[in-house]
Amino acid sequence: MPRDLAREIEDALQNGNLQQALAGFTGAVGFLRAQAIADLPDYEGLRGRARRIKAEAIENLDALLEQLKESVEARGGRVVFARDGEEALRYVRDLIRAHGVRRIVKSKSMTAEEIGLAERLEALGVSVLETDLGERIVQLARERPSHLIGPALHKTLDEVRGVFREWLGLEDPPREPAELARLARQALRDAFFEAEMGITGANFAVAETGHLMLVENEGNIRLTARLPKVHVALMGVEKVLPALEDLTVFLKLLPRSGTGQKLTSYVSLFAPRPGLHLIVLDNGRSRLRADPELREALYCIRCGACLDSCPSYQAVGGHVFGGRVYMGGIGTAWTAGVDGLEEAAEFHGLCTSCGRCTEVCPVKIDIPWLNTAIRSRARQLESPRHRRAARVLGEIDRWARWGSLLAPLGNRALHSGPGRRLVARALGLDPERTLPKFARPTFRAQARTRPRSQRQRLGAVDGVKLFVDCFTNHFEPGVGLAALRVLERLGVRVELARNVCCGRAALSQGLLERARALANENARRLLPELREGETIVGIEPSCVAALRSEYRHLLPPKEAEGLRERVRDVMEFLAEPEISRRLSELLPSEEPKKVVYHGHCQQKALGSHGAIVALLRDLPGLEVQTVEVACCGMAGSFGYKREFAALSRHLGRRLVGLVEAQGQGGEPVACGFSCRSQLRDLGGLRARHPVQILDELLAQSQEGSL
Amino acid sequence: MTRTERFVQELARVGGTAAVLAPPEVPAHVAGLLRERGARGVLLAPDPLPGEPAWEPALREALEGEGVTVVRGAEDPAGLREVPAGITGALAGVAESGTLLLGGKPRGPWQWASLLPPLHVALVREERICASLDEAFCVLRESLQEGVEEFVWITGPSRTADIAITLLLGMHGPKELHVVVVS
Repeated sequence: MPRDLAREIEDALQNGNLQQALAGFTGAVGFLRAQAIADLPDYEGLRGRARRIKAEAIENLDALLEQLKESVEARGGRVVFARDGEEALRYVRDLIRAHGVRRIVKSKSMTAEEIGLAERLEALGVSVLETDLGERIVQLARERPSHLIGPALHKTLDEVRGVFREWLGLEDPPREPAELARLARQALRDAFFEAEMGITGANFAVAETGHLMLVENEGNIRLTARLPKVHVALMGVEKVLPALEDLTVFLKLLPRSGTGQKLTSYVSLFAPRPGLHLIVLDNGRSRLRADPELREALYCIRCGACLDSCPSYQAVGGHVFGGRVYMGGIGTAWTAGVDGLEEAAEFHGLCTSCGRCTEVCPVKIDIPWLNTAIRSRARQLESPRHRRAARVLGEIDRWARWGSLLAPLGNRALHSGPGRRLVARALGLDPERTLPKFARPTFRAQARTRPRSQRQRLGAVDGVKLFVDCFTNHFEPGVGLAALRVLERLGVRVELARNVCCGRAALSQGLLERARALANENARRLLPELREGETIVGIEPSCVAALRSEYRHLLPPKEAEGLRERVRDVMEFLAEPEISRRLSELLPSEEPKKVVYHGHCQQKALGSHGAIVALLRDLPGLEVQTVEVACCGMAGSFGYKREFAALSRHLGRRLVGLVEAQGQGGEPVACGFSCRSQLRDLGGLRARHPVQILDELLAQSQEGSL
Repeated sequence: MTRTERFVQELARVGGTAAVLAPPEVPAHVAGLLRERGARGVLLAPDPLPGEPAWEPALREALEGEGVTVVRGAEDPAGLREVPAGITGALAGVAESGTLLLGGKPRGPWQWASLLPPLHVALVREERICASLDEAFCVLRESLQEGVEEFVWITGPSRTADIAITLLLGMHGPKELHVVVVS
């Protein structure tokens, strides 16, 4: 039965315990991770190496797995390759019979979760005890893990006490977490000594020596792998690395990314021994490997950093933003590989392509792109009505042209009650949402017909082609005109680029072919006429991100790189040393204007956020507060969709709350069209693009000097 | 800051304790630790200071002098369920993270002594404290060539945050990790 995602989202948002746990965990880990990474020399270099090592290992997978088998078996262990869960289970079942196993202790393993190993073994009549405390809690509560690292993070102290009541038969379990942990230690310690078999996963396997590396904090993995005579280790084929020294890179990255620790309490390098049975599982991984778009999902080292940084995950958790086993944006690809596209199609929509995960992924997986690719395939499974809606939302450039032409009439029709409801129903939109108003004339037309007196040509040093995005062009020409004036006042020679839509809207609907066509058209129009030293400057951050990130997947490498090097966000361009110096000279320094700035997700993902904030802080005439919030919750059409309405509002209200609480009365400014819409729709706040503020200040100072 | 100072500082950050001592002070220090905790028995892994075979009898003598039962430990851990303390050597230390590198045969006493009891005392020679993980990894590679099969990097005591995101020590492994740096 298909899932009712809207319902699941609402339930998660109304679950106070879950909200508290998610905020506590993701917040704490995010903070610790940032610290742990800050004191790591050459983090970027390490990420590059980690990705290369994984990419090469996946490329040479067959040879490495053969070598691993030889290394393990030379030292008395056994290696079996299992095509799917069925084969793995059969092997373990035979082992259980051969060794007369009745009690099994098990440590946390997503791979075991994937094939339902524990439940299936229990169905055979053996006892399987999870020994990781969080996993044990989840097992007793008959739930699924909600996070790769913190399986029980969604459970409150009282819920845990309830679980202990049942587990240990206690009438009134202690209220002290330390006491609960002590009781669990005692109970599980007995189990370790009694069990005839221990089942673990593996973080990495070394082909050269046969060592298995496992990372943990509790010590239950060491006990599971070493106390029982028989050790079954279950790993996916993607876990193999060539040499011992490759581990150092991951030793530095995995704990820091996962929990913000420099190293976890224990990192074991278990040697192969008689009694070790290493099961190497495929279960859809070969399918992922053969898929050029999804292949990099196999580079994942399961640290969970992407989850902690994801606005959707932070709000609803892994049970909602996830499939049967794997969660979050990376989980979409893994679910597609392991459980099939249909399962993944249920929740890919929760990825808004904001890109916050790509900033923290230690192997630099382009998770938003994995979701875009899956979205595009999932469209094939949808009803014609849904596909039609996607096409309309994805072709914003086409209908916006008509919208602007018919602006007064069209706006009235769209914003009247019946008109709005009709459109909302046809496109699956949230009927409560105000749709953006079309502007007439468009930005392009207004820029072209400006009176000569308004054009300033002070110099022609830094040539700029201003990329005209659909949002600025059809909905907010004022932002474009402000950008134009600011750039010109700084002596920059500006021409409007002859671009078409960047394809962002098409991408977010999974309309890959259309996005590819637009990307090619833009490359064809923009690249040849770009002069030496000229920059393409964009206003809408999500469009800048499309040109700089997504085009890598849409264009031949040379064209993609050509655009990537030359495209800048307008605020990023203003932050360049020479430009910002001129800007500082022209701005008035008395009576600074107070503003509160909300940075755009994609600026953060592209790494331009820091420079923009620094620019705003350093400029005379401005007093800037910033709000630290993951996402505004609109993300293009995301916030308009009925399915995600509650989540979008939840995120947007948090932003509004922060702006009001921390803004100290400053005027809200935000670079993103969606961010400004959220502030307006949910908080009644009139937010402007920072370039509009600069335009206003420059105009004032010019009047003053005349 | 010297490597040793950094090591001690980082170890403290992850909840471990350390003492930097001259060789003659070590046996009495270790015996004192056990006495303070009322530990009447200890699992002493062989070769508690790698490369110095005379240390094992010296420690044993000092501990037995205090009335502590010293178990040497065998492959079978069944008798080690209730042992209150374990002593092992360490192949190396890592200053930047307060980490120890231990190694030996799979299912060897070094593994049990550093895992089963609530108190783990590890001895490491000061010159074996490396500045970085990369340096210590060279020690691992050398040790492997010298026949050490299995390894564990230990950074502080066993811990969990699985109950209501509260940090707790001593979940399944030792609650206390005490490192004696032998200068």
